[in-house]
Amino acid sequence: MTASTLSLPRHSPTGDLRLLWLGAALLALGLLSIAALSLGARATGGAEIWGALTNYDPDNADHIVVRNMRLPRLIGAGLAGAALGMSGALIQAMTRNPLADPGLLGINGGAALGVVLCILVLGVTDPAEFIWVALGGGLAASVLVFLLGGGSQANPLRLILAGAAVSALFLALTRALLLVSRQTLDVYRFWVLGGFDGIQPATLQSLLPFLILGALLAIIAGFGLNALMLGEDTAKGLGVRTGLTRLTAGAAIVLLCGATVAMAGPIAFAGLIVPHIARWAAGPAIGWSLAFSAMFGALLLIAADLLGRLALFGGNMQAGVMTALIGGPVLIWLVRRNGVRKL
Amino acid sequence: MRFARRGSGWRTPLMACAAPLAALVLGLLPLPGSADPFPAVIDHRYGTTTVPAKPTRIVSLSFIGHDFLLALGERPYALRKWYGSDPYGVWPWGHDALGEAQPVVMRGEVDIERIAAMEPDLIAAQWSGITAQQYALLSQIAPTLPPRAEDGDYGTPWQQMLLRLGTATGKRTTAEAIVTRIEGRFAELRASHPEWQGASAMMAWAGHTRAYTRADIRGQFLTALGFSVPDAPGGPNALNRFYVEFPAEDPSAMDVDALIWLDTGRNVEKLARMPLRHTTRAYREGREIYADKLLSAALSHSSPLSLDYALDQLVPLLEAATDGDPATVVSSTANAGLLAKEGS
Repeated sequence: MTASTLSLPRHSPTGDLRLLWLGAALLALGLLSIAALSLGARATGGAEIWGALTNYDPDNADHIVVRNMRLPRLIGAGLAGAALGMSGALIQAMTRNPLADPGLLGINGGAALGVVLCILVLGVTDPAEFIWVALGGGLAASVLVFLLGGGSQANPLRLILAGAAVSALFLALTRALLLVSRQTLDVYRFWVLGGFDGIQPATLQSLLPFLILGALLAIIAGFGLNALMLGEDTAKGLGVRTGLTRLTAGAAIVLLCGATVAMAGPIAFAGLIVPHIARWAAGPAIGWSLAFSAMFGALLLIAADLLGRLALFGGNMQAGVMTALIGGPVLIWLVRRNGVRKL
Repeated sequence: MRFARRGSGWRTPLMACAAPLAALVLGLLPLPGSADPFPAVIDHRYGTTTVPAKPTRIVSLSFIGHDFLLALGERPYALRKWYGSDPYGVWPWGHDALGEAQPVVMRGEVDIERIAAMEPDLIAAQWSGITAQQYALLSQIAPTLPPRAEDGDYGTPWQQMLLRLGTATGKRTTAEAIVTRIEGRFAELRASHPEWQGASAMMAWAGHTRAYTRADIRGQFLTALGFSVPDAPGGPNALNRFYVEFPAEDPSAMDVDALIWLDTGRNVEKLARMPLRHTTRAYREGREIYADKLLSAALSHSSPLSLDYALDQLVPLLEAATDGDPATVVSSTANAGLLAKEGS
């Protein structure tokens, strides 16, 4: 992997091209948001959307649908997508592994175990009550992965091994618990697919501080990671405190991804593919890569949630399922056309 | 018929004795038409099962089947627990029939090795979801009773559940008597409630827009009272015959004359904040019924034991919900704090 830094990327987007991409992505985000607010089982026109946002009438069914159902979903999907995109870009840069996924740090496994224990022991069946156990489980598991992976001295390989081992262990424990209780399985299987169905504005509010803190840490870590991608020794030579950079990046990933898991369940695919699309558009510099990952992640998940809502009449294909269905072909097309961008 | 051949050495003479013995015992009972119930032959989705003699060691794989066996006076040797807090997997309506018996409780997936070790002589598996492959293995252990093809995994009507178990346990006459009595109770209720005939009703899971169809035992319960259970828009869902998902953004098709919310007791809050509930006629006119944990379980079991409990509890609630006067309070809905507020 270290040799990769010596080979020049096949194309290096210039500033103008980046701004073009940025504008296009923002435009797409705007159009998609309008679509997400107006499409669904109930046809809603522009006047009703405007009314719901500016002059909300709690007895108007159209207003309720737009304000209490579609808007929280839109915001939730946008935030989750941005968070997953950013944490994906960070972990791929930190481990210098293009196949790394934020779930690798044990966050998904820990959250799943927390949720199953919560259903089994406390009998909770309402996903709105899962957020703190999911967040706590994810945080606990990722701390364990960091400790096993060597803490601030972690080398990429050891971190990945520790993450895979802890994830597998937690998944096995989760499955063992699920075997005991059929009812737990029923609640769990909807959570584990990942989605924004019935998301609560209060949930979004309580998770927002975690997301903001995570995004700030991600930007701070970005400076060090740029140097770290040149190799451990070069980075040290440039005066970067590599251990601190890794810890900051790790904390950012855990906060961003943990809050997302708590909000919507594990959405596996987005954190893996979005950074690839972002690097293709923005080049390898971590700052641009983070910004583009956030935007493409939001685009992907809003589209996934919207299509999932429209795919089955009346039914609901979970966004976590749709990300793979949309993102997969995009990734394949990108790889076939351009090859995987080096890290 | 592999199980009939499998008796190696000692088992064959035992079986040879068992049949006449069972015939002798049954002959002493004053049951009309029970002259020669064994071997009992029962058709089902995977073929035909022959029960050679009266079973004494019954393993029930059905999530609700033990209620039916208990109604027939048969205490299962082992049963598969569905849910609930009872250590033996039996809800309060079955406690008297269970008595002091302490059946082996199985949970989760069907463990064929464990079942083989129990040496059962009947495996009751309607409403169990066993596959053809599992049936092939289980039927080598003992006569196994899956559902009829037309009923599917979880759609067997309670009458069929009971009559088929009655045949398998040599208690067909008892089963027929129970069916006649409970069907009579439904008929009386239909006669005394003309307002229910043809009115729409639905059972849904609290806090979701997921409702049970006519094919489900809960839908069958409403149909038996004379209600009609509407289809989802776009017709029955091909993926699942037993429940349909209505669009959360447009649940108007769920706005029926009597809407029954089933719950484990933990979804009241979710139901209270359900976005479009407040715009429905069922809410405004007080046509919603909140079924608590026990009533929901009784409806979900729909067994000869639980049906009586369910009718005792639900009929007064249904009367309050369907009297056409929004001022009449449905007590269970009021107790859960789910009634429409004054003026809204």
